[in-house]
Amino acid sequence: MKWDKDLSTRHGGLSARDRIVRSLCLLFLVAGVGILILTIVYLFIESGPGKGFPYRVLDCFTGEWQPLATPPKLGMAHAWVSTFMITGIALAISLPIGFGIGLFTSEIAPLIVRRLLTPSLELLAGIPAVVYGFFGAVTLVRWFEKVFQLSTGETILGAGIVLSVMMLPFIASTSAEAFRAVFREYRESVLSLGVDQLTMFRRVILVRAFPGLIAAAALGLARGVGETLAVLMLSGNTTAFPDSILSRGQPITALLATEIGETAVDSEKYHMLFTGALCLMLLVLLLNLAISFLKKKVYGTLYAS
Amino acid sequence: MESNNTPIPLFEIRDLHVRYGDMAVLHGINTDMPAREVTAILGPSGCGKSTLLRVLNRTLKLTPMARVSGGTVKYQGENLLSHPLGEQQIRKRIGIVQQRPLPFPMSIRDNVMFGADYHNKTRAAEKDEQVHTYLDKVGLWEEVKDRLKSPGSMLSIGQQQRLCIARSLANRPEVLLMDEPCSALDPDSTAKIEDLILKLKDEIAIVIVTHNLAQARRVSSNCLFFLNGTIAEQGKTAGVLNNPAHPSVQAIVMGREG
Repeated sequence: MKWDKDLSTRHGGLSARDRIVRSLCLLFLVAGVGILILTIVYLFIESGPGKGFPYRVLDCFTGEWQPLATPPKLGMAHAWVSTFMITGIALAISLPIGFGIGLFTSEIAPLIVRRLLTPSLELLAGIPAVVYGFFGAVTLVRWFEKVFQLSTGETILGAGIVLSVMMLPFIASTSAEAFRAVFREYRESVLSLGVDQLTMFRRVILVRAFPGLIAAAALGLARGVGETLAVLMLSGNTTAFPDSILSRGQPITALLATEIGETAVDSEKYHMLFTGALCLMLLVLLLNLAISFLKKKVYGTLYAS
Repeated sequence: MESNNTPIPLFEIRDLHVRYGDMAVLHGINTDMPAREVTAILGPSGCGKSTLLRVLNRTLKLTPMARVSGGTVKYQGENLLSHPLGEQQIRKRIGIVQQRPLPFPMSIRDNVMFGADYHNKTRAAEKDEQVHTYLDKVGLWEEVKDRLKSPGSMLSIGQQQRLCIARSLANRPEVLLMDEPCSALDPDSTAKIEDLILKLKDEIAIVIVTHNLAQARRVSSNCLFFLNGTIAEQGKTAGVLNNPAHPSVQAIVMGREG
C-alpha cells in the first residue's frame, strides 16, 4: 500500500515537519561534535607534531619550567601537580557536602526550605569566577596568613577550597535530581514493607542513585580541572614546584593563560603550551570515559550483590 | 448487633474522610471488612479505592498533601491510625502489593527477604529455606531456582509481580492488600495470581482492588462498590454483582457483563 510505504516504512511514520525538525537536530549534533573534534585537531596542529612531539609530551609532564634559561626548560610538571592537588582538595570537600545538600533538598528538607535552597544554589553557579577570586583573596588568603604564619596566604589549599565552592552547585543539583527521581520511584513500595528510612536509603536509594552521583562527581571534576581564573588568583601563580598543600602553586590552566600572551607564534614555547592544552583536553576526555566505564562496572556489581 | 459467635471484623471503618489538599477523595466511608474472607473493592478509576488501601497500610502520608480529615478506622478492634504498635509494625502486619511490580535493585533472593530481614534477623540456612518457601508459594520457585542471585528486574513483568507478592508474604502479614495486582499482566500471569489468592485466603485476610468484575466474582466473597469517594453498594460479592440496588452500579455491572 502506498500509505504504508510512505509513512510507516520509509520514514518511520514521520510527517514533513517532523523530518525537518529531525534534520535540524541532527545538524546541531554534528556541529557540536564537529567543534569538539576540530578543537582537538587544531590543538594538535599547533603543538608542533613531528619528530620531537613524543619527547615534548613526556617533557610536558615531567620537566621543569624555566623558559628563560639557556637552553629554555619548558616542562610543566609543577603545573600538573598543582592541578591535581587543587582539584583533589576541591573534590574531597565538595563531594560529601554536595551529596549531602542533594539528599537534603530532595528528601529531607521541608518544602519551604527546599524552595529557598534550590534557587540559591543555582545563583551560586552564576557567580563569575573573578568574583570568587576576589572573595577568596580577602577572606581565605588573609586568614591563612594569620593562622599558618605564611608570608603570603595564596596557597593550593585556598584555591582548592574556593574551587570546591564553585563545583558545589553542580554536584548538589545533579545529585539532588538523582535522589529525587529514585525516591519518587521507590519510597512507597519500600516503606510499605515497614522498614525504616535508613534501610531504604542504604539498600535501595543509594544503589539506584549511584550512577547519578557518579555523573555529579564527573561534572564537578570536569569543571574543577578546567577552572582557570579563580585558581590563578588564589594559588599564587608561581612556577615553583608545590611541596605541600600550604605552598603556592600554579595549575596548568593558569600557566597556559599566563604565558600564551607573551609567546611568539611557532616558537618552541608556543608548541609546548599547545601541547599542554592538548594533554589537558585529552585528560578531561579520558577522565569522563573512565568515569562512565566505572559507573557501568560498579553499578553492575552493586546491583547484583 | 455483635453477638458472641461473630468474630470482631478485621477493619471497622466509620465515616472516613480523606483529602488531597483541597480535594476530597473519600467522603464518609462506612464498612466492616470480615476477617478470613477476600474482600474485593470495585469501582471506576479515581474513586478512591487505592486511597483506602493506603490508609489501611498507613502509607497515605507518603503521598504529598494527603491526609485523613475525619472518621475512624479500627483494626481488630484497635484504632489503626494511632495504633500502639506504631506505623512500621502496622505496615509489616498489613502488607500491600502495588499495581505496578517494582523489584528492588538487588538479587531475586534479597528481594524476597528484604522486609523479613529487617523485621527478624535470620540465619543464612533459615533464610534459604524461607526464600524457597515463599517463592514456592507464589509459584516462582521452579522458574527462578537456578538464578536466585540475578537481579529481580531481569524477570518478566508477571514474574516480577509474583516476586513482589512473595516479598510481601515473607513479611508474614496478617492482611494482604492488593491494588489491582493484575492490571499490568497477561492472562496467564493473572490466572496464577488468582490461584494464589484462593490458596492464601485460608491463611490471611485479603483485600483486593480490581477493575475486573469477573475477577471479583472468582476470588472474593465480600465486595465494596465505590462511586465518587463513597461506597455505593456493599455485601456478598454475588449479591452486589447480580442484583445491585444502586442505579449507577446497575448500569456499570450490566454494561460490562450484559
